[in-house]
Amino acid sequence: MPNFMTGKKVVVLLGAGGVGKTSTAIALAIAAARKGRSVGLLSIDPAKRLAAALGLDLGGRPKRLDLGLPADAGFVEAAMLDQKQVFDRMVERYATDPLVKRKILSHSLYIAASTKLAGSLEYMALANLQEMVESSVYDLIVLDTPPDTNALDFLRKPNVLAGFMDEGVMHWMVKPFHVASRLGLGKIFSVGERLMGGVAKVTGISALTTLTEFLVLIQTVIDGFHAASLRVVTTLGSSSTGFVLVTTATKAAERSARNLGDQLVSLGYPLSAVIFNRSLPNAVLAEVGNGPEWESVPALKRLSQRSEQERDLRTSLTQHLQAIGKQPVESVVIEEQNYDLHQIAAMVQFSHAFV
Amino acid sequence: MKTYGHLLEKKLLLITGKGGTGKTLAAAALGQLAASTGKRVLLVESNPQEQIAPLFGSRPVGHYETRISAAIFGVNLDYQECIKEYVIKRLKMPALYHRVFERKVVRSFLNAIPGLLETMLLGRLYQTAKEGEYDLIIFDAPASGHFLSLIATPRAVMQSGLMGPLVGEVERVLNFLSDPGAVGIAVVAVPEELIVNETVELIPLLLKNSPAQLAGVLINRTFDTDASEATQLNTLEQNPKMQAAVEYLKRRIGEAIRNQAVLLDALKAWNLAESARSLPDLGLIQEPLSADFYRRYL
Repeated sequence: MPNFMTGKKVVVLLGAGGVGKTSTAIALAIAAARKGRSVGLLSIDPAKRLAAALGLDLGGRPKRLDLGLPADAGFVEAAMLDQKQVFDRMVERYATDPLVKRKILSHSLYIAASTKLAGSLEYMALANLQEMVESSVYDLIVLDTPPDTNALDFLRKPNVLAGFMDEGVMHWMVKPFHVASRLGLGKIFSVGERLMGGVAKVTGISALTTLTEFLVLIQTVIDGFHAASLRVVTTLGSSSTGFVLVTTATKAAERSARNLGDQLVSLGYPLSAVIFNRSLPNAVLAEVGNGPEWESVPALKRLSQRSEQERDLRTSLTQHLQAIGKQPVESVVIEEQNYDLHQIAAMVQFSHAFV
Repeated sequence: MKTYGHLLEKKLLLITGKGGTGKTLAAAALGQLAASTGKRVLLVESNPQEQIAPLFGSRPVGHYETRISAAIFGVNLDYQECIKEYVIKRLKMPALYHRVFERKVVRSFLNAIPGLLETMLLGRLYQTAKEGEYDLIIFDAPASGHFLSLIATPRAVMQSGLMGPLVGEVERVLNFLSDPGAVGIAVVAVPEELIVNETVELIPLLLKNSPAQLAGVLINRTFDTDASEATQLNTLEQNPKMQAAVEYLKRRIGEAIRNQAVLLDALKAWNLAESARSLPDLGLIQEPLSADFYRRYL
């Protein structure tokens, strides 16, 4: 288990798509379990094959992984969710009235838009995280953020959601609806009418009625989640939460990592570590440049260039992250593995790389 | 050089695929190729972190179509600016925009309307294509999951019972996207097992849910299928000083060749094997791209 995980109760992995975040999350979780920790692992939208390799259905409750660890080791319980299930579960959890629940799940807007309401994927990931934190079953939770999302949104979510609520949008949209219904007016624009009228001109009156109806329905869900989201803010801001960047040595991934690091710091979340995944094995690096073939054979020349690029990107990114952060950032280099990672035994083996 | 007419004889080419497969590089190279045939090209992205401009040695261009190469323009579309353009230029309601849509509280409300931002983005692409200033627009689109949501939005909007001027716009966008002579999608993959699997899952989803036609597949970072690189390395195998490196390369190349074959085989089922193009692993890509980069790559 790497140093940065000591004393942490929550570890959040961030990084561009395609850097191996999910496998890294699994390996870290297993490494911690080997050290005796009770680990919860949450992956949103992982590759189906990885889920299958762990014996997990997408959408189930956290399930204990069969890792074959010694008796005195800890454990890993993993949950992997896809978008639809994440939101459905939120509705299940927070909608108090079964009729309301049914209406939400069958509402045309819900069906048409699936889980895209206000970037709900990220919100719901955090809600799930909070659930796991509060279950007290785990002394470490590893959160693998959704691939290919803008992880900045993900981190801003708690504050943005709180801001959204504070703006009173829900109030000036929803309250007049209730008031108007009680008065039998059937109109929803008694408050903020000019604003709503303006938006209606563009999107269409019935669109807003549909949306308002939907917002009324999910009000309890949003209220329930809002309370949880405030607790998530506390969890994320705690010193026992660590943020980790995962990157590979490509310019695009490194640019993403650099940007994520900057945003993390500007949002006030310290970075604990950066993991350089899929790095060239040391045995190969030791041989680079030890003969003229490294210039004359194209494949070797490319390999040599790649080793240089990896080193340069690693140095520049680490330096940059150290400079912007207020605390030291641990740099972890993980070699490319030479076996198929899509089996649980292979993942246990991979976890040894995270000593 | 191979032919790319199936991708470039369009008004709009949308490039997607899993993250990290090289969509941006493919977009840039195809843009260079199209420009070399005399086309005026617009490369589009929508990213908080600009990827296209650095490839051409340009500073970030933002939401402003900027020349980044002789016949190539770049733009990084911003959702809020798309909304502004729609309300002011197309609905011709500038006062409405400033009075309503610039308000912070309305902005967050707009974010909550499912599909609205996607509609604005697609609408902007449609309008730009219609205006005809460019012969070809290439959109370096979001990665597969988000792309599926994006491309499915127009149909979802039409089916959700919304009304109003926006829906008229969506209908026009949908007709445009559905015209295979005008719009095509290119999926980028790499010969890695996970990516091949995900690509094989993505394609039927696109075929089912996308109004735009899947025009072709690009397989990035491939090796010669006759394994000539592997042959070259065989001669070095006996050298104890290179054992680890040679073993590593042979393994990687072998895996890539196998995975490539698996993917091409799968593509046959959808008649996409013939039009698939394998692009080489060029290793370290210098930024900015050289003017003839596309010749080495495509």
